[in-house]
Amino acid sequence: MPESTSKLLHPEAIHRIARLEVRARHVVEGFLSGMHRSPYFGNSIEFRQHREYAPGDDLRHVDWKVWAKQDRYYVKQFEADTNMRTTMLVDVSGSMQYGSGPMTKGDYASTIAVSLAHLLLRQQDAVGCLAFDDAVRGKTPVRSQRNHLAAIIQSLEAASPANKTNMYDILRQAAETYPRRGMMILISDLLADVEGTLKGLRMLRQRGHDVMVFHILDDDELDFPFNGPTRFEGLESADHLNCNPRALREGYLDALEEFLDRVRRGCAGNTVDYALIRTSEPLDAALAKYLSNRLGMHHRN
Amino acid sequence: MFDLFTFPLLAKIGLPLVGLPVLIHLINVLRHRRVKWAAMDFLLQSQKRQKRWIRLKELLLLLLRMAAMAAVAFMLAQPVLRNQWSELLGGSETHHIVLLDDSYSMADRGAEGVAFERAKQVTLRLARQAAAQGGAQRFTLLRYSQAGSSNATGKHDWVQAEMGDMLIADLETRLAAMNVSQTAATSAEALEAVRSLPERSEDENRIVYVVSDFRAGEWNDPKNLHAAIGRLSAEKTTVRLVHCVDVSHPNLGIARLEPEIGASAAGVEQFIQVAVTNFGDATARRIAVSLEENGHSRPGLAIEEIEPGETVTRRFRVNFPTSGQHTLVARLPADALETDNVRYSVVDVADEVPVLVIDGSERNRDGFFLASALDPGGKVLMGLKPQIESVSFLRKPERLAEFSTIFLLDTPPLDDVDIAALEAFVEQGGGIGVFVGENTRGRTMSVSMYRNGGGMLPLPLSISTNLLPDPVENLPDLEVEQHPIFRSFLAMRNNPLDDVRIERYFAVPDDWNADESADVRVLARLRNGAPLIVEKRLGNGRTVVVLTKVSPEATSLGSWNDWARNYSFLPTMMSLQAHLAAGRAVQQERLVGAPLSLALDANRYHSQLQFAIPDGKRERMVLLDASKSAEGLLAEIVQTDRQGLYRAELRTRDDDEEQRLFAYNVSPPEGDLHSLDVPQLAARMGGLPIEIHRAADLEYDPEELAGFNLSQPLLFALLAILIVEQILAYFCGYHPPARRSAR
Repeated sequence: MPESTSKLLHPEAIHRIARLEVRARHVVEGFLSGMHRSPYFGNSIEFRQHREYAPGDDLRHVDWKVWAKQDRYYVKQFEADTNMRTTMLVDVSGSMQYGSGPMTKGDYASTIAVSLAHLLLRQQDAVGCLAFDDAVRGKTPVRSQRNHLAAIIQSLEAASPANKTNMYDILRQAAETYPRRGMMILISDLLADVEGTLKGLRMLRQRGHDVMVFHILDDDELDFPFNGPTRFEGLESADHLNCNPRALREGYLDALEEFLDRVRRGCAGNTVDYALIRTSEPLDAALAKYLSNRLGMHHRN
Repeated sequence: MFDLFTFPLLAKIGLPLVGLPVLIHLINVLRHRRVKWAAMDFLLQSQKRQKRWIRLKELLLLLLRMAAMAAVAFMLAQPVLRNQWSELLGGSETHHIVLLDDSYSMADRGAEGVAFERAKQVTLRLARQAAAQGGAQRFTLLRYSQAGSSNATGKHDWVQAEMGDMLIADLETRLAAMNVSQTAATSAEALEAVRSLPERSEDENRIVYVVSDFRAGEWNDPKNLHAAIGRLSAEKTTVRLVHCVDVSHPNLGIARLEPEIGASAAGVEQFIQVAVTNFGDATARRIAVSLEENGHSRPGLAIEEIEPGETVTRRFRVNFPTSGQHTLVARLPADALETDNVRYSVVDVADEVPVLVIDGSERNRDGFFLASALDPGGKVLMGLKPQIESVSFLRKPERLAEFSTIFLLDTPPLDDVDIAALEAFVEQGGGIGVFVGENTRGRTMSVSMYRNGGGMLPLPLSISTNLLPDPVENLPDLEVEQHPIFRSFLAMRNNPLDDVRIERYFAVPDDWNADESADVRVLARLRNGAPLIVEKRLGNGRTVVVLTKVSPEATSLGSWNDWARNYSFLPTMMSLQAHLAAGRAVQQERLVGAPLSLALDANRYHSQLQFAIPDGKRERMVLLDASKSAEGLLAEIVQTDRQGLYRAELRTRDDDEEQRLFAYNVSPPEGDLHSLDVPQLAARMGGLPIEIHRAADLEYDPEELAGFNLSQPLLFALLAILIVEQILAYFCGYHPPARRSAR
């Protein structure tokens, strides 16, 4: 990617673009501008492999040429011919309100979501969106129309971050809401019950979804650079703590690392793609991770 | 506490700054930043895990910062660590009272130097150290010789002077010029004088240093010292004794130089006594006493040996050809203490010594015999001038002062006024000889003059009685005791007193016992054991009663005795007169330090006079205006701090010049150089809260005395504290170079 383009995708630059749609387009087009060819753009029905015939297989797929040569029944298998169904689960809870840089975690998450939606819609994939905190705050059906992006944006903008996150319930609800197999992209800081989150992810996997997690965290949350007497007040709870942050830093980072480890291991265990993204990173990083993920996705099916 | 600092003000200002870190902490707590935070769980988890350790680290950090502030404050205030000697000097707000013993025993010269010089060094060191201490230090110096005065406060060398370099310089100069006095002032007087100082303030720490030689004479029986020190301790005054003498040196001193009899006449040979005391622990041998008479040397005396602690008396003859005052000086060879090696005496020589004879006998026969004995006439010159008077002469008491001796011969009962005048005469040093006779009323005299032992008479009288002859044993009638009256006869083989016949005498009541009173002594008894001659000391004088008559002639009661016809009578009466007059001589002994008073007749002398005061080998003249009173002129000088011959030069109204001489001597017991060592002193002072130090133990280097300045160690401590603080702060803090983040 050219350096000038990379600069344009930096959150500070994106932040200046007020409208989410324009912002998403800017991200996606900026991202695509460097690429010659999208691996997903082209034939959607392509031969993949041969498989020995088993009773019950559609006879239309039997390769008669092979039967003629070898006197064996083989079935031809093709790539799916349908558009991919992608659902984005965007966390809009209180904790997403935090942001030390130009964008809060919530802004960052929304931008990623809309950018991805824009990207997918451009290639006629169906995209849905679900904004949530402890309950579903905005829901957009999975569609592939070009103008569906506006609905997604609307649902994200309408949801004001406030409450705690209840990940398991949300994931269960998502699994029930979108029963057709597809791709689930969870964009959240995952500051909720880890066990519940992992359980929800496992359930999605069990329903046959490809699951991808964009773990959005702020630089402050990862580095904890605070100094001097500080009163920390919970964004999702009434907890507060007067402390000298320098003294607590070590313990905090230990606890955070332990949390990240658990999440990473849980995701790996459930074959969930996981990416930790700092809000200071350029937004196209999320898109790059998504695309590289999509390339490897076939190996899992 | 602030007395530990060289600059206590800086410590006072600096110490509250120790609270500054706490204050900054509190301000920071109030001014904390608010952060809306998402990942509260991790924070709470961290806080729960590290709560105690964090608190401990923060507390340590806070304490280190406070310690650093304290170290800075202390370092600037320069605390000084003092040794034991410094503790001896107390803390701040201290009033140091140095009692410097300058009695003449301090002139004791040994191999280790003069005791007084050491005492002066100790005084200077005490002052220097006190000045180095900082804080409010005051200084009072009182010499023993000044303490004896009733107004001791006015005679202090310094009273509550503020300590400082000026005082030290002044003290050094004045101490260098200070000499040992010749007084025998005592520690008790000096300690008592401390109480006359201005009252102490409440927070004043008062320390009295007794810098002395602690002579055994005074400190062996320290009842009054105990009382004085006890009183000071009760007033929360610390008493510290500083001993300036380590070794007691042998010393000889002249205890006495005086005429044997009170008054003598020109041209009459008389004896002078000189007594030498050996204060050492070994026998002194071959002591040569050199003598001066009227400023000229005369043959000296040699004393073969004097046992330790003994006093040996020798007598020598003098014959002053002219009347007036004559001087005698006796000297000993040099020893440890020079002051008591010399003694001065002024002998008053009259043309004739008047003796008052009150005679009540018939035709004054008693007076005739006595006067004949005292002034035989012819070529024999006795220097005495008997003046025979009747009892009525006693009505002029002012005239009695002209006489040193009065004889009462066979007087009828005297009235109370006469008796009071006679008793006053005796108490002032006069001597009275009483002879009885047929006019004597024994019982009346017992009532008026004996008064159960309170009067001048040594014994009560009853009635006259005959001494029965004893033809069998043929014992002498008179048995005499060892007494100066009979000195002439004691060594004689044929004692003329044995030939004296006593026929009549005055008996005493049977219940009278001579041993009842220490002042009464029987000098001679009759062979039947009855007292015949009895002496009583009263005040400075004495009374001698002879219980028989002077005259040997027959009376209405028969003959009393034949003593006056015996040749022992004359020397006995001469000796009796001399013995009676001796009281005046003793009274006239003057000790250094006692004021010299001179009463003059205002009609005869001008009020202006001058005194020549001995000052080393020269004389110092002091002009004086005598004060006038109803009784005449009174001239007094108090500068009698040197021994020697003082001379008053008077001018009469007729423009004639007269002079009076006075001999001032030191008190002999002060020459006893036996000193108590520290353990002995501690034993004598047992039970009293005092501290005893040797002067030698206190000889410290001035720098050492000034104490050890802690500023430098404090600087190192501060650096150490700051390093530890930085390390701890590093571990407590967030440091970008050691960036770590969760990935």
